[in-house]
Amino acid sequence: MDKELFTKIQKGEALDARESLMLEQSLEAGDHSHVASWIEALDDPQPSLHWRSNLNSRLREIAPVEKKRFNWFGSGLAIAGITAFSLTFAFIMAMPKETKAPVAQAQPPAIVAGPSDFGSTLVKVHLSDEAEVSGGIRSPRRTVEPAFDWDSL
Amino acid sequence: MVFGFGTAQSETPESLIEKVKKMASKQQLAGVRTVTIWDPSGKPKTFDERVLRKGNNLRIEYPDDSPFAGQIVVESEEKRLTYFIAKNEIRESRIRPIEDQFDFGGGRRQGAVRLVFASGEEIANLRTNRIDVLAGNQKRQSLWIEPRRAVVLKRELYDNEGKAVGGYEYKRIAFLKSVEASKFSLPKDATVIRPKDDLIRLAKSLEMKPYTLDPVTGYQLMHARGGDIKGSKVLRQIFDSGKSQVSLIQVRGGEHRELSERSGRINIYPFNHNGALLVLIGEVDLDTLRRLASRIIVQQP
Repeated sequence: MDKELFTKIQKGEALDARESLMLEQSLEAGDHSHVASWIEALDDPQPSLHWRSNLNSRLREIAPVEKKRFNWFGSGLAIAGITAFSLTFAFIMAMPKETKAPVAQAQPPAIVAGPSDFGSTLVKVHLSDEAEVSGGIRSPRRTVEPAFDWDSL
Repeated sequence: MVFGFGTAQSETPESLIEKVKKMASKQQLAGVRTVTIWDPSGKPKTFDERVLRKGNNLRIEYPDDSPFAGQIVVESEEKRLTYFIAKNEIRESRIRPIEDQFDFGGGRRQGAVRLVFASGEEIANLRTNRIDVLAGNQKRQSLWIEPRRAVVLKRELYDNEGKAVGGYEYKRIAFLKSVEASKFSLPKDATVIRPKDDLIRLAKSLEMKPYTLDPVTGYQLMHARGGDIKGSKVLRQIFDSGKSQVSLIQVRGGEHRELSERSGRINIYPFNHNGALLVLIGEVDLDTLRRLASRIIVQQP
């Protein structure tokens, strides 16, 4: 067997998966007994790094690809993720589009969601200011600032 | 449609509003009115104003026991000048001309604006016709108008939930034959503080940069105000384009991650500008607010 493998290597013939594995394991395990004997038998007793590199390349080429076992749990998560992404994407695509004007410097808000309490208050403030501008009413400034909010009593 | 007493059957709400606009420049009167403004928490602020009017010129004084005593407001065409007697200082802000204050067609409206007659009532001992301004089915304003002289004796403005945000009602009124023009002039040597001066001053006191809208947008700064809202320092500016009003509000302090774009009758567009949280609000579409957000400048003295 070893001799067969050795001969194959010498002739530059393709190794099958089992042979490749055997050779690779021998090299990785430091089984120099076989390797050394093979090398001694070579015409050129000083194998170059180039030779070893070529050997490794050939081993990689012919090495069988390990088939991964199907992971139902992991795959399930992936499928769920892909499904969620697809649905989200479909939902976003189905939403009415708004043409966005180029916005220099200004960045869109971090969160786009429902109305906030603070937002509602700002709207009320806006309406109050708008009423002053266009409705003929005004909120004058106090001439003297009170020391206490007497209206709260 | 309900017609109030004294309304000619041929009168329509639109024709009465046109009459109000036309007569505004001819009216001369003195009156005392109660003004009510609701603050953001919904608490009403009520105070009396003493109003003297000669056409488009208006002078407002406050009773001696008023928290606003010691200041005189003079309005003419597009400016409101508030004179602080003790400081000899005039604060200038802009207003819409009287005729435009009764133009209900401007801005983005949800559905057509309709004017409808409703039951009037007696205001300042004068019979009135009431006109409701509706956008869709939502009441935006109500006006109580003395039809013969076309004077608005009571006015209420409503928010998007139909709650009143501000208004006035005359308690007493007298129509005058003449009013001296000199009543509408203010001391020439007073220091004048323009809206942009006010903005810079307020921004400094609130430790903010005086960001504002570039005038090339067509929006003009009407006034700037500072204050606190829900624990945050707020610098607010209101702008007018002649067709719509937009607020630019700068917020400092507090967590407002929940503040978001909102679409409706009034739109909100919050955005970051060089680390500052700015919010544009107005009855214009979101695209307009986005475009305005790209036109922020620092107000120069």
